[in-house]
Amino acid sequence: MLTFSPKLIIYILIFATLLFTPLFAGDYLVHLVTSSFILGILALAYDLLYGHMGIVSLGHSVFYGIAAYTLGMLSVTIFNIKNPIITFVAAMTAGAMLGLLIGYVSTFAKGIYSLLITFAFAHIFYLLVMSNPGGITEGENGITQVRPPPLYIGNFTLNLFKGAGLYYLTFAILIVSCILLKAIIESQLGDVFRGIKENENRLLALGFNVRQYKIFAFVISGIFSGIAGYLMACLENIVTPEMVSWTTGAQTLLIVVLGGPSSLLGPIIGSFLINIVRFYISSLMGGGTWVYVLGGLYILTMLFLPQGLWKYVERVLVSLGIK
Amino acid sequence: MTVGWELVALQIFNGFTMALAYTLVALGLSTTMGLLGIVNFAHGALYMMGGYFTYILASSMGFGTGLACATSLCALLGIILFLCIYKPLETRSPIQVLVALIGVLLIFEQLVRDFLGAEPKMLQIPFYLSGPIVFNLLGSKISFSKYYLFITVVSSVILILVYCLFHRTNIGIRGLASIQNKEVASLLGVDLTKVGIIIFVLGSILAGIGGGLLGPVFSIYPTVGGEILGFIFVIVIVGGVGSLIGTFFASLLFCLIRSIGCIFLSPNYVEIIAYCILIAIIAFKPRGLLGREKVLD
Amino acid sequence: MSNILLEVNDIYTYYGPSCVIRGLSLYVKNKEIVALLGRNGNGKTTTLRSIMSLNPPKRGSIWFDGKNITGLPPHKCARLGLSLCLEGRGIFPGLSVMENLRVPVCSDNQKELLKQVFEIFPELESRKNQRAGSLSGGEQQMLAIARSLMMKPKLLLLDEPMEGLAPMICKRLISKLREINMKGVTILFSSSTAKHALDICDRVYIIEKGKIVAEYSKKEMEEKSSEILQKYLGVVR
Repeated sequence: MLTFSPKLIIYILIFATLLFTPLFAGDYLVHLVTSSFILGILALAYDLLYGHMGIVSLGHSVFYGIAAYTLGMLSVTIFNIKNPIITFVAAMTAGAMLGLLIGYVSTFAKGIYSLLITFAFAHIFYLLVMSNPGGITEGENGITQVRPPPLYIGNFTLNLFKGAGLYYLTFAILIVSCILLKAIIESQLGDVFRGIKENENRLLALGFNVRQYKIFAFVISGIFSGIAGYLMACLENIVTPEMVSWTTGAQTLLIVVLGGPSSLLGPIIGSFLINIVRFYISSLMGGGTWVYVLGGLYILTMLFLPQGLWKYVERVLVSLGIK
Repeated sequence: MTVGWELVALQIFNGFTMALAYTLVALGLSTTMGLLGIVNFAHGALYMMGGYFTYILASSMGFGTGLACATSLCALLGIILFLCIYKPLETRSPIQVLVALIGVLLIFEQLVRDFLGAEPKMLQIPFYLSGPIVFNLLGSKISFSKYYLFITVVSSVILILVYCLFHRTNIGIRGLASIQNKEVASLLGVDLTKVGIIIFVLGSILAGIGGGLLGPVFSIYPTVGGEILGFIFVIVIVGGVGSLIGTFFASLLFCLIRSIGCIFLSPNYVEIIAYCILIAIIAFKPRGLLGREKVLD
Repeated sequence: MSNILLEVNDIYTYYGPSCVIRGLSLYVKNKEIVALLGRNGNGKTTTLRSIMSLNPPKRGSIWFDGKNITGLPPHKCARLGLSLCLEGRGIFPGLSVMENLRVPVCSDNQKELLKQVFEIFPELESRKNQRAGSLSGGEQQMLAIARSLMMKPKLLLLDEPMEGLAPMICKRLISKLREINMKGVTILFSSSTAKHALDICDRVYIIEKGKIVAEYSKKEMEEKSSEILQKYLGVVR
């Protein structure tokens, strides 16, 4: 039994627009929106740690990038395994294991020291990838020709990894991520996460093994970041060292802070905004102007809308009477 | 492969020189971080501008004067940044300040790309500083780079001056005190805004000089600031935020690892080892090498 | 009434949404030693912080030496002659004793002030180059007070100066406070145990749940000190 609030109608409208976009939009737009979906998944994964638990990490590029490299290495450089199910699961597993590793080590410390450990990991993996051990990562140029083939189910060919197919796949995964995140937040687990954010010592005193919860969150975040990395590799058909660099992690942080942390739509809005700025402004005004806009956006938002765009959008909606 | 001790000696000297130069930049970050409470990304921008200003000015007024003027310009930039960005954001959380400062860095990088071009600029070492100096040590000839010696001398002088500033003058002591405990300092009559400006300007000067000095070594390009920031950040945290001596030793540790490691391994692997050591240090001794610096939240 | 150095009028101070000080008023006369007693968590520290504007009150006013200082930034309060020593001493651990003493801002000659301060605290002079972080608890407290004196304060505010100190050290500290008071410095300090402190006070306020609930003069304290302590602090003397 749904109450037809105005907010719900807006959601449905947006959903419908996104659902039917590939039918009337050109390839460029589809590519852009798909990219935004993927960054959205990454941002949500990041926000689980940042917005809901108060953990700042620069290590997400490792989950994102190495999962993509897993795809690249399995399908191009080391083996010739093209089966998308295998590579997808492998990427997820890589994300999970790296989440475990980085989560475990970084939680030896707290606060900025923990942040530094995640940064160090990102840098280490970046250097590893760049140094191209045994030729498996192709160093600076990255792994090209990354194209997972369609899924063959019975008589049907599902081309899920390019064009419109990829669009709907990423859209679906984004929605799944939202639902899962919402479920976590509203569960008892979410309460513990919130507790960790507000007052970790209190939870420790109450007997919670805070560290285990943090590591668990890292693993989940790692899995979804890894999925995002895999999808991005499918979209761009290339895996680059850039994806593993700490700058990607920093960019994710920026997307989340800009869009509005600790919310479902905030990170997604942030991702769309970054892509819009990057692609539209650069085509409208040429060259590097988009960087000024982006930099300016960061500065102005922090000056005037420090809680992220989504919180203010929400406030505006509420004041307009839309709940 | 047998390694002659001359090579090791040379690399130790080189590492030492780099450590001094990096300490300059790291100190600037350490003091501003101690006051701001978060990684000051604009510091990278100032480092880069130090390099570019020196490059532009050196051709018309010579290297030495160019470096001095470039540093003053960076100090000016520092004041502007403090008043326009940091002060208005005083009440925001550290991450929010961080995001704004990243915005600043991005803008500077793009400005430089647009007005000066994206290709790396080679900053020329003036002829009187270029070339080797050959020493006779224990029967062997070792040639050190004259320019590296120049860096060593200049950095040492500046570091000694900074130390004296912080430990001998009232204003420097108040600066250190504010870094260690802002609230108590204000209770003792210290005007935190004034101290903030001074420390920020000092940090800008250090970043600018570092950028100018290291310009000929690494060449100058738009992302040089962001790239060095990671390494400097590591030095600051391991050395202990706000600790002058700790920063120097951390810098020495990592620069020596780098320079000596490079004899045996490729640079990438040396850095990987350095960062692994970093992780180990932080995981087991999180309060920095000397274990007594201010703890950031 | 021009004898009153500090006057706190009906202040309300909040931590976020919760009201911690509700309608608190007190005054301190020139050259007095006044104690603010109360159990932990009842607002002693917050009161002192409100006076120095670390936690400025949302309502009410604070007058010092004839001037309205409500909400005046801490460093300006300090320069007017108000000096607060926080609980936990707040010394700068990475600086030496000497450097700690050089931090306070004062227009008087620093060397002269140092001499006077070392007269009261000779034990600090012998340790002047020692790192402040390596001093004992009692020495750190002496340093904190000495440091405040370097500002030539008219009113010295001390938050739980006796906290965590051995009885011997407390006795020494108290005699130093008496010495400082004789030199013309007014003192207001807070305490939750007050075992030895009552000896030097001219007046005592009792604070409970953010309000002053009682005030006693020196004579009243001499007569009923154990009663007071038992009733408000739960302390058996």
